[in-house]
Amino acid sequence: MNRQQKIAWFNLVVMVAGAVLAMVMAAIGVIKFAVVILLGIGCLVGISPVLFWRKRGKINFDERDELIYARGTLMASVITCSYFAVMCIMAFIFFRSKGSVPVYELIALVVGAFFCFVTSKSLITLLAYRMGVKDGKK
Amino acid sequence: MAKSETKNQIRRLRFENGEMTQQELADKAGVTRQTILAIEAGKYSPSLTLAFKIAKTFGVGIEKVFQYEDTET
Repeated sequence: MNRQQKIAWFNLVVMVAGAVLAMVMAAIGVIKFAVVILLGIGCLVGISPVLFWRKRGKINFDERDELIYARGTLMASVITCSYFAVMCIMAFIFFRSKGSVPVYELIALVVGAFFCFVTSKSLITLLAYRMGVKDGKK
Repeated sequence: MAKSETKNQIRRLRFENGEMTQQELADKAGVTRQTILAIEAGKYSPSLTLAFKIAKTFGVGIEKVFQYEDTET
């Protein structure tokens, strides 16, 4: 398993753990803090490059890794933009009668996008390494 | 419809060159062992630069390492 895969696994575990904890928080009634908990735990993904430091004198990243990284980022961006489009339409439908979108819902929307991006990128990266990249296609 | 496929002789060439390991080839070509493994298995098509580097490592022309096939389906 290379550095990219380790980072992807770490990010995926962090996001799933955050989501589970957020669901538990929501289940016990503190729903307004569930999103903040997810964001707080989710931000641990920022330490992954330090946890999996590049080893000196060893090739850690080559053209195949670069391709997988670029495709993962692109696909995750597409998924996140689609999520945003759907959620903004839903916000309009649900909160149109109230005249404004509650702040809490806006935070949930942004945290959801963050979760969406990190999780989808990790999954796509892991799948690409497992399935291979052939003739310019994943 | 025409289907294209790239085949390679890396595995055979490694053994003909003193049973070179994937790691040794990877170090000489400047990539990771995983990439050599993926190329050998046909799961990844290398860039032209990498293909030339691999061929140079074996001391042969690129066409001896990689073959392009066009098959009608």
